[in-house]
This record gives sequence, structure tokens and C-alpha cells, in this order.
Amino acid sequence: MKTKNNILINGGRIVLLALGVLSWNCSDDVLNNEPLDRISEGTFWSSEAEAQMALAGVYSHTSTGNERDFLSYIATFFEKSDNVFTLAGEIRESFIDGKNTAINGIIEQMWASCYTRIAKANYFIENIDKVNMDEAERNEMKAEARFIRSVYYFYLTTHWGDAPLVTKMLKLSEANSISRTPKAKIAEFAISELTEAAAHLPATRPGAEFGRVVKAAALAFKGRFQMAKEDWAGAAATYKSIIDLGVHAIDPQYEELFLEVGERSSEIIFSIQYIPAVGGKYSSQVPYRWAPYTAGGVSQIGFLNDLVESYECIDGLPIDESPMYDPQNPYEANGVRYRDPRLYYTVLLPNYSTFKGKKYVSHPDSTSSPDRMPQYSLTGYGVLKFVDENYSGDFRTYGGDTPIIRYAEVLLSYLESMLESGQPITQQLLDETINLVRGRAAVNMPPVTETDPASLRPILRNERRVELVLEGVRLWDLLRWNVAHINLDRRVYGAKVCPDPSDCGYQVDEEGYFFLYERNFREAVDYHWPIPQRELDINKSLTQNPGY
Amino acid sequence: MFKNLHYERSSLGVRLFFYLVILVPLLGYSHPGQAQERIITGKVTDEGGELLPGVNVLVKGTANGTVTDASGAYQLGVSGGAETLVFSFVGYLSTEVQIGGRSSIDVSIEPDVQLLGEVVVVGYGTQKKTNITGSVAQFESKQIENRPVTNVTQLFAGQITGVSAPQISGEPGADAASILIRGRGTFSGAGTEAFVLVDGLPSSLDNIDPNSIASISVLKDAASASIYGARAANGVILVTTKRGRTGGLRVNYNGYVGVQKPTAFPDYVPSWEYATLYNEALLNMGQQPLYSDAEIQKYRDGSDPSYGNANHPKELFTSGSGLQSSHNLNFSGGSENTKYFASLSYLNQEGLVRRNEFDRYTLTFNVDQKVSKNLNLGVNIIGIKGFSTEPVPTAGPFGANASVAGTVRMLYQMANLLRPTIPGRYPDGSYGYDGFNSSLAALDSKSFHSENKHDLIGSINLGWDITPALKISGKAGYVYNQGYFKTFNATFKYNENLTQGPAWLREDISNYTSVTLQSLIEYTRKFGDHSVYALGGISQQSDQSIRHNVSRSDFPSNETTVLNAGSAATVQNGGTIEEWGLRSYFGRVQYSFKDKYLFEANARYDGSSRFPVTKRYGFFPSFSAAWRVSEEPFFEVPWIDDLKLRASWGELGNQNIGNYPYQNIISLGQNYIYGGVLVPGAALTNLPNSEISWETTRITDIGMDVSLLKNKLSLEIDYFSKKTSDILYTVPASHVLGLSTSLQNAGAVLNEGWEFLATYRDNIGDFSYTIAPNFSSVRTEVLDLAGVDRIITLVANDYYTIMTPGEAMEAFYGYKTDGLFANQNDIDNYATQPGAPRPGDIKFVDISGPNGVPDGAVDAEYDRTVLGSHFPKFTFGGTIDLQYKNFDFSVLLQGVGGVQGILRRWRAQPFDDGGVNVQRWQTDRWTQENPNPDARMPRYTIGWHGGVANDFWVIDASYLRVKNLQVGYSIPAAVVNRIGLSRLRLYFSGSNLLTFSDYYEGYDPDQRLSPDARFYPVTGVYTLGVNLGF
Repeated sequence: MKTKNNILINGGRIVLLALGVLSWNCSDDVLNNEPLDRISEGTFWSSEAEAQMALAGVYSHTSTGNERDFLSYIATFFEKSDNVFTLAGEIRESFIDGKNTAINGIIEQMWASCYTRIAKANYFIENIDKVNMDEAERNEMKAEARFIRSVYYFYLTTHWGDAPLVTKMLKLSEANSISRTPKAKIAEFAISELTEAAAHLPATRPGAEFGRVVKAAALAFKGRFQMAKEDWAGAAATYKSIIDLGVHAIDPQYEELFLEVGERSSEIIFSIQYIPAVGGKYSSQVPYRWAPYTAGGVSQIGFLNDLVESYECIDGLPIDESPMYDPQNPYEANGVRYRDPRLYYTVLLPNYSTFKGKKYVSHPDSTSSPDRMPQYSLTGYGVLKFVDENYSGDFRTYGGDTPIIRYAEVLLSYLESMLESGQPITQQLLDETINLVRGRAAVNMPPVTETDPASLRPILRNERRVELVLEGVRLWDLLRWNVAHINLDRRVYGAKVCPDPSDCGYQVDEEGYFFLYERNFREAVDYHWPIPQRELDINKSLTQNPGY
Repeated sequence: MFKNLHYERSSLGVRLFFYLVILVPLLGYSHPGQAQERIITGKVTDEGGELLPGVNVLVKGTANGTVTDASGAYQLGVSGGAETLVFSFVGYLSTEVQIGGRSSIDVSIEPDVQLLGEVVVVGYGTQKKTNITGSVAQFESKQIENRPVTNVTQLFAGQITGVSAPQISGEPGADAASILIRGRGTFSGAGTEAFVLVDGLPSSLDNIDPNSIASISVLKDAASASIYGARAANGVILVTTKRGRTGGLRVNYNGYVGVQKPTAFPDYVPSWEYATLYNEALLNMGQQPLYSDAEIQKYRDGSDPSYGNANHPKELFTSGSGLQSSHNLNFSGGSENTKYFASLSYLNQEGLVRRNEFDRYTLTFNVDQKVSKNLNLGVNIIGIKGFSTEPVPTAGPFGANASVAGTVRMLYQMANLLRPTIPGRYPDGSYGYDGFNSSLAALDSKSFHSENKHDLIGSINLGWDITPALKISGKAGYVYNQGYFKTFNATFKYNENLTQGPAWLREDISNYTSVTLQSLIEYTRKFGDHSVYALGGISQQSDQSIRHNVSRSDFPSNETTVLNAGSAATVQNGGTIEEWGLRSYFGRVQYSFKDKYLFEANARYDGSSRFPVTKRYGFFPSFSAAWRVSEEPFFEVPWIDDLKLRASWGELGNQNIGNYPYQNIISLGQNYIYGGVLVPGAALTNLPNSEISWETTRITDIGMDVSLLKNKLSLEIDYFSKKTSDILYTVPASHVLGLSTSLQNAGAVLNEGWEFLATYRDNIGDFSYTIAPNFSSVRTEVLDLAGVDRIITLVANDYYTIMTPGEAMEAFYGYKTDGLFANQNDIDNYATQPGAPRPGDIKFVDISGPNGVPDGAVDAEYDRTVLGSHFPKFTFGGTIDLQYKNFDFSVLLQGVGGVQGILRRWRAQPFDDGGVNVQRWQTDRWTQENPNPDARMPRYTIGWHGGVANDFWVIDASYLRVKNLQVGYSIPAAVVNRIGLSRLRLYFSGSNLLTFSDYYEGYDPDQRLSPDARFYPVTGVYTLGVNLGF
């Protein structure tokens, strides 16, 4: 027994000793831990493959977790205009209804996402030279990053005017003390950047690279900057150079351009890429947000009657001039759809259109319809453009791309630049621009023949409106045409609810259209958004836009 | 009935344990083989002369022994060589008696005063309470027993001074209270959680079984906590589990069954009232009403089943049984050489919501083995299995990606997004929904989220008494936490047109291991009047965390919820590993002279892998002293029995930040799509800080312990001043930076306050009572913000807080308000407001302007101010214990004062974006007809009036609460003995029974930062229980 005890005692001492030795081991290995699942900056930028990863990082938007990004949610935000209506009192409506304040959280997120994307581009541009790789390829990749950076400056200058111009990685102290650069200076920078980028970008890309920037995209944003500063001659030259590339064309189809099936059309110059994905991380959320309730969407926006009325009749005349127009049957007469076909491709018309085989019923009295207004259809007019009727899955996992620049915009912008620069308008010019757009097989509207600049201007502006609706252009147009305070300072109406306005249970206009809301766009204030209050709280060098 | 178990039998069990679990061959024991040469008899009594049954009697140095019978008598055969008998019994000091030539030995044994709260668990040891120089609070099993808590953190509120523990949710499995010791010392990203050790190993309080806890010690000041160095800045909590004591086997069963009820729940208006109010909001905004009079009438008279009146939130939170039950069976006992405690517990908590429940099994096994005269082996094992399950929103904006706990709280959000005018189900069986929200559909679907958690806390401790004065010990500890989470989104048919799917499953597995190795050397010596104690130690901790997740979709049915059943083409997965380590050297020196002048010094030198090499090690010293004035010859105050003055100072650290804060890291997963294919991307998204170092907390504590009136009244008074500097904080960066920023050492915060605890004990005949009120104050002030004069933060897009030197941390910030604008005239004659106010909107006060006086315009620059604080200035509590014969009664009161809360978004205002329901109290509003400027709600609109931060929604959140109440009756011993029991007590115990507060109706005042959109009410529990002893 004594022996056994001794063994145990000695065994215990050995354990004790072992513990002691372990603890007294003087190496600090236990304290030297490096991250195992991330790449340390010290080892990055060593290969072309890593450069490619970094470039994808510049393009990446869906995985930032920041939904309020100009490119990824462009349509949702930019159609806050006379085209559409969102829920009154909803914070997004305040962009244009005269109630915007410096603590509008969405505006802060939009601002933040611009600089997040700019920082990613700056980081790429600053470091790509470390990689040993083909010079031409390096320049091309750099051009892509410079393009992305300039795109965000386009949105920054459009909405905030003057803004901090950041072209390199900042230190924290620099970011917290930077001041605003005048809009004109930023535009000058971006135009030169885009010019250089265009020189290094390919005109076309093989299918495997679809989604990366091509030459025309850089030129198109250059054109937008030039139009914004009313450099009409410059803009015209820029747009002409896109036409002269000869690689983009008007697609005979229209509806399909906004669906997955048509997303690779050569008409689409630059688009945000989506794929069907579980969990929606890389999927487009657009159809989910816009589809009618019956179809599994949330119907977040509705078209205003003002937009619906802006579609011409197929005789090429506006409804108030066309003999074809019948207010009692505004969409069809004698079995003939007599309005611009784009209306039927774009708008779910009440008690007329069908969606997935079911008639779209939105009248407020139709209590059995899940799509009745004003709760589940905001205006009575639903959204069809971008919403794929043939898609049977969950709309949140839809893979269709969002176009940012289409060749149609290029042609219309070219015509506008020619017109505004005082160049003579010829029928040939009209036929090479606006008439290609409205004359595509699926639309087939009669050609425009008006060559008088003053008379052509409203026709062209209306063409932009109906052709590009929901593509993030309308609000920019209203702002740069300086008509936002006219078009956005008024009562807005939805679909017609009463044949006899004098005997109607609803508040309607004199023709029986449903009253929605009164907007009060402030001319002195709302042309620019406020600098977010948070930024002012942190950085005393920043100034606020007037009126906030 | 177990009293006659022989010593060897219990030892056999213990030995089996060693064989099986420890795998250390135990060779030192065999059955006694010596010839019995004589018989010794006798009786054992306690200090009062009562005969004691069940006392262990043992021949010293052998395994030969017996226990006293029901009349306290024993009879033991001993060998001729036997010299000494050892008498031992639970709760009593072990007593040794020389046998000599006697054959009859009667002894009286003394209670072990150490077990009566005179000994306090401190870092790496225990200390006599009279000798403590720091500030340590301890509560013991007696204060824990029979409280129907589901999480140990819920025990803290009101029990001890200086500790607050608000609980903001009653969700099964996720209802921990957050413990703050002496206020929040930091606005740090490094966390504010106290460092918790269970039997000396870093752990968490969350899954510990309250039944197995012997004591909980809270180390509040630097003197007591600095031995834990870099992890101690937020205080240290030491949990000690129960251990066996010498004596026969004792078996106890404790169990209760009860029901949970919300402490508060919003009261919603019916559908017809809702419809009218919604119309009013639309009209106020210049829009058209939604509901016609005819429709409202249908809602009111219920004539059409499609026009219902649903209270979705209430239906949700009454869909479950809310039953709660707990069972604990424990065995303990021991001989001179071996002591053991084994406990098995089961807790079941059914939620207030159907398909939401929590189960926990806990096994605790502690053994102390005297291996030889000077070698002691201790083994602790705690094994826990926790399982929770909850329903998941089938669809809607939150549905697809729900892979975290708290999905049941999302259901509340869904219920709130569904108008009362929409029924849960239509007569045709289809579900009512709004924007896909239907809490009923979620309950009825097969979607679920479940969490299986397994925890193992185990250690082996070997102590070697080299000499009576010198002792070394080594400890190896292992903590393992495994989490296995599963989220299944079933396909679900709402109606003919709408079916959600495809089904989707995600599984997450996380494994966390922590290995602690530690060696201690201790020296205790008394030289005349001088007592010296010294402790030195080294320890090392290395932790690793591994996580994996996988998901698939397209499951053939809602019943096959295993990954392989899903489509392989839809697999998405991820995995990550993180590691960190800590190496520490520490020591303690104590010196006392005549037990009158007490000095103590502690120090720890900690190295953490979380800091760069140049900043890796930190040194954390502390010093304390005490003077027992009452021991002085000149002290002649007859009514003061004991008086001790204490003072301490020391430094603590905080390193509880992310594992890799200083490394420059490229984030992966910044992917994009080329040619329809996802390509991997990478980007720099965070600006690291390579200079990061420790956060340091310095605490000065001055205290006094007094016993007076013949020890009937005792007082503890402490003043503390706690200054935290180099706070690890993410300094706000302008968005223009384009990156998130890392923690940096910025800023300093002061917490100072007072703590009072009084205990009065007395008895009047059979009636004995204890009254112990406590009160603590804490004042928090930001001292410095790394040179920045203010940091304004928008919290959750809802409200603003400010940090600025001179104010409390995270103070509510914004405009002061002055009621509502009654009419246009009121607006025209008032200071210009931001936005475009209309009658019925909130009125902001013009406080100042560019010239330091009101300028007639309210603007962000000059008119925002501090509006209140969500940190209580006062916490208080108290216990009252009464005992009369076999009846016992105890009550625990608890409260906070000097604190504000905020209600936000649709919890505060109806029709805020997302929220649709109207609570009864919200109907006190401004209207065209009744333009009351003092109404509780501004004019109804669709949208949020709080969007401009202001104090309209800030409200006093002080309260006093009956935290626990217990009434018990013990069946007289004479009766229970007859049925073979030693104890039988029946009781009622309830928690959160009653709250006095002026907080918002429907919300618990502990939810003072407003419940999140995802809400689960705080619950009170009403239980009936039994304590059985065999």
C-alpha cells in the first residue's frame, strides 16, 4: 500500500511539474496570432490574380451591406420624380416634397456609400502599381477603377453640388477636416479622368467579362458631366464618338431589355450585374420591390397619372392633340391598343393589364382584390417594367441586371446636345437618333419630323421621359433643366376612380383621378440635398447647403 | 435511509470515477484488512448538546469508519494500533480525538464558522472576511435557492451594492440580465462585461445551474480584482460550485413548477378604432382616408368575417403555455480523504409563444481527494446541454436570411406590422398578411430556428503542501463550448396565389476551446504578532474559435430538414478560425500585525495576443490596507463590536476586443459578377490601428465595516472613484474616409459613487428576522475624448446620443421640447423650427444662438442639448427574511433611480414606417377637434415624429420592484423523519411580481433604451416548489 501511495504521490508531482514546465515555457508563441481567414495587407498585391480580386472589390456593391447605393438601388431612388409616387410621409418622398432635413438617414447612407466606393477605387489605384503585370492590362484595370470613382462623383455633384474631392486614401484626421470642392472643379477632374479611362478601355468585351466597363460607358458618363455643365458642344462630340464606335445598337425589343432574358443586348452599355441567388445577396431586389402584391412583390412605388398621360398615341401625337384619344377608353379602342406600346410594357393599367394571367384590379372599391389602392397599389398604376411575368421563383432571388446606361440614352443625349448647342437640326439627325429609339420594331412609333429647336425640345424631353422611365434619369433631367420646382411643386394624382367626379366618394381632380398628395418642392432649397448632419457634427470645415 | 452506507462503498464510487474519467489508476486503497481487536462506543453532540445523527467517525489514516445512528451513537471496531478518531459532519469542523486507552468516547463538535459566510472567495483563494482589505461582495447558495431564475445573471439585481442587472427580455434561452459593476466605466468597444470565472476558469454565467452554486463573489475594487489584470476592468465575478463535505451521503431534491407572465405588455386598440385613427393620420397629411364609414361599421359590428378584429401581438404572446419547471437532484458526502458533490439538473421553459422553448441539463461533479498527507487532488466537471427552439418568420423581408437566435422576436415585429383589421386567417383558411407579415403563418409553418449548446468546464487541480507553510499547486483547465444552430425556412402556402419557398436550411457549428494552465506557489507564516502570506503564479490561456456554416435550398418537403435532402447545386458554405492567447504572471503579498493592521499588494503582468508586440504586456498593480480600530486598546465604544477602515488603490486592464485589431486586413467576400458568374473580390474596408494598447482602469476605494449592537447590526460603507483611461473606442470618422475605423485608445471616464449595505438580524422568541437594505449611487462623467469636444452618434437611426466632457456617457441628445403646437398661430409666434411644422407637431425650444442667446430660430448647431441618461444614478434593493417556527418568508426588493428611458419608432408612435398598431395610451393625441398642446402624442401622421431627436420621448425610467418573494413551510422534522426524509419544505416563489414605475404603459422600465423592434416582454414567474432531503 505504501508503494502504491508513493507511486501516486510521485505521479502527482510529475503532473504538477509538467504543468509548471508548460507555464514556465518562456516562448511567447501563444501570443503570436495572425488572422487565419483573411489576407494581411503585407502579403497582398503580389500577383495578378490578387489584382483581379481587388478589381472585383471595386465593382462589388451588394456585399457591402449598404443598400443605399446609387448604382445598386438607382431606380428605387431616382424615380422620386413626377413619374412615380412612394408612400407619403415615407422618408424617401421627402427628397422632393419639401420636407427634407439634414438628418434624413437615407441621404446619409447615399452619401456614405459614394465615399465607400470612392475609397475602394482610390485604394486600388494607389496599389495596383505594386503588382508585376502587363502594362496595358494594368492600365485597363486602373481605368475601370477610375470610371467607378467618377460615376460616384457624378451622383455627388448632381445631388450635393460642391463635395469633398478625394482622390487618394485619407488619414482619419484628413477625412474629418476636409472641405468641399466646387462642383465645377470636380466635373473638370471627372471629365479628364473619364477621357483617360476611355482611352484604356476596350470597346467590347468577351462574354466572360460581361459586366466590366467598356469604352462607351466611360464616354457616356463624360457626356453626362458635360451636359450637366451645359458644355453642349463637348457633350455632342463625346456622344458622337460613342456612335462612331459602331459597337452598340438599338435593340428591336424593348420590354426584354429590362429582364434577365435581354440583359446582354448590345444596347446596354453598362449595367449592374445580378444573378439568381438564394438569400438574395447577389440578386436584384428591384422586381420584388415593384411587383404587385398578388404576385409576391411589395409594390413600393406606383406611377403617377402624369406619366401615364405623357405616352403619345400611335399617331405620334400627345393625348390632348390626338383624335385617337378617348378619355373613357384611354388604352384601347375597337380592339386596337392605340397608345405608345411602351405604356403597355411599362405600366400595369387598372382593370386592363394582366399580370401572370390575372387582371390587375386596383380600384379602391374592389375590396376583394389584393392590389386595391391606395394601400397595396399606391396609385392604381402598377409596375411592369423590370418585373418579369415569366419568372416563377421568389422575386427576391431574381437575377436580371439593372441597366445604368443604354444606347437609347446616348442617342437622345446626343440629339439634346446638338439642339442645345445651336446646331441645325436635320431630318437625318432625327432619324439617326430619336427615330431609331422610337422606331424600334417593338415600339414602332412614327418618326419625329419636327426640326424647329423650340418645338423639338418638348418632344425630345418627353421621349426621354417615357423611354427611360425607372432607369434613374428623370430626376437628374428635372434638376438640370431647372424645372423641378415646377414639376415637383404640385398635387399629384393616381388612376381614375370615378367616371363622374361630381359624385365620387373619393377626393379626385376634375376628371376623376385619385388625389394622392401635395408636393411642395422648394426652389431655393431642394435642388440640392443637405450635407448629413453627422458629417457637420464631425467636420467643422464642411458647410451646409442653403436652406437646411 | 442512506445513513448506514459504509465508508468503503462511497469510496468505491469515487474510485470508479477516477478509473473511468481521470484514468489515473488509483492504487492507494484497499479494504481494511486489519484484525479488529476492540470496540469503541460513544455519542456525538453539537455545540448545544443536541445529539447528532449521521456524523462520520473514522480511525485516522485508515479507511475504517462508521456513522452515528439516529440517536447520535456509534460503535466502531478498531485495531490495536489505532491512535486517533476523526469526527466529521457537514457544516462542522472536523474534530480529532486521541483514543488512548478509552473504550467510550463522547464528543461535542463545533460548527465551521467559515461556512457561515465568514470566508470570502477571492482571486486564487479564500480569505477571512475580517481580514479583507478590498471591496468584495459575496452572496451564497442560501440567497439563490428556490429563486425561479432561468439564467444566473438574473440573480444579481438588488442583491449587492454597486451592481445593476437590468433584464430586457424574457425570451427562453435568451433572457440574460446584463450585469454592470459600479456603473459603466467605459464607452469602450472592449465591452463592459465583468470577467466571470467558474471554479477558477474563464467562463460565462449564462448556462450555469443555480442549484450547483455555493457562492458568487463579486470583486469590485482594484485591490481585489487586479490579480486578474487585463480582464478585470469591469469587475470580476467568481462562481464557486458546491463541494462535498465530510459526512454521510446526503441526497437532496429541489423542484418547482410555475408559469411565466409578462411584466408589461402593450394594450392595443380594436380594429374599428384603429381604422378611424388611421384615417385621421392620412387626413392630417393631406391624403384621403383609407377606410370608409361602412367598412368601419363592419369592423365594429363583426357582421362580415372578412372584417375582423385581431390583436396579433397579444395572440402571439399568448399562444404558448409559458410553463416553467426545474428539477435538481444532488448527492454529496465524504470521508476524511474523499469528498464529492454530484448534481443533476433539468430546466424546462416553455415560451409565451407556441413552438418556443428552452431546455437545459446540467451535470456538476466535484471531487476532492486527499491523495496523501500532503497531496490534494481536486477535480471539477460541469457539463451542460442547452437546447432552444423557436419559430421563424416564414417569409417577408426578414425571412430568408434568419440564421440567428431571436427569430421569435421578429414575429413580434411581424405581428405589429399586421393591422388589426386584417384577420390572422380568413374564413376560407387563407392567411391574412401585409407585406408578407403574418405572425400566425410563421407559427403555423414548419420553419424553425434551434440552438443546441454543449458546454464542458473541467479542471484538475493538484496541491502539494511541501511544508506546513509552503504549498504549490498546478491546475489544468479546459472549457469547451459547442454551438449547433439550425434554421429551416419551410415552404408555406398563404393562399391560392401566394406560396413561399423554396425551403431553405442553414446549419452553423461553432466550437470554442479554451485551455488554461496555471501554477501557484503560496507561503503562509506567522511570526509572533506578524502574519505573512505570499502568492506567486503563472498562467497561460489559449483560446480557439472555429465556425462553419452550410446552407442548401430546394428541399423536397418540410419534413426533411437535413442538409443532404436539399439540392446540392444550392450549397453555400463558409468557415473561419480565430485564435488568441494570454500569458500572465501574478502575485499577492499580505502582511498583518496583530490582525489589526492589514496590508496587501497584488500585481499582474499580462501579455495578450490582441496587441502589437511593442504594446503587448501590461502591468496591473494594487495596494490596500485596513485598520481594525476596534482592536485598539484605546477603542472603548461599548455598542460597537467591530470597526474596520479600509482603503485601496489599483489598476486594471481591458483587452476584451476583437482578436486582430492591429493587423492590416484585406476583407474577402467583396465579390462581383462577370459574365453571369460570381468572381471573388477583396477590398480594404477598415482602417486598422497599429498603435492599439490596453485600456486602463484605476480604482480608489475607501470603506468601513462596522458591527454594532452585539453584532445585530452590521454596516458596510464604501466610496469609490473609478477612472478609466485609454478607452478603446472607435472614434467617429467622417463618411468621406470611406472605411470603417478601428478601435483606438481615446478618452477617459470617471465613475464615482457610494455604496451602503446594512444588515439587521434579531429574533423575538421563535420569530427571527433579517432586514438588509442596500443603496448605491454612481455618477458617471466623460473626462476626455482624445481631444474631440463632442461625439454625436445616431443610434439605430432613431435617436441621438452625445459624449462630451462633463456629461454622462451616451447621454440622450437633441432638442428640448415644449409640448405641441396647438395651431398655426402658435407656430407663427414661436421660434422658427427645422422642417416645416404644422399644428399638432412637437415644439422645439430655442435655447441659444450665435450670440449665446436665443436667436428666434431652432437649429442643430445652437439648440441641441443633453436630454437625459439611460444609466441609473442610484440602484437600491433590500431583503427581508422572516422565520417563525416552520414558516419562512423572504422578499427581495430592487430598484433604480435617476434614470431616463426612451421609446422609439412604432413602439412610441402609431403608423411609423413599419409599425401599424395603436396602443391605448397613444390615443391621447392632438387632433383638429381637440388641439391640446399637452397631449401625449403629436398629431397622427404616417411617419416618425422622433426622427428629429428630442426629449418628447424621453421619460423617467425609475422603478421599485418586488424582484423575488418566497413563502415556505417546512414540515416538522418529527413527521418527515417518519417517512424517511430529513427535510420537506413546500414553498411559493415568484419573481418580478410587482413593479412601481411611471414608465410607458406596456413596457418594462428595464427596457429603457426602448425594446428593439424585435421584442419579447420581460416575464415574471409564479412557482410552487418543494425541497426534499433524504
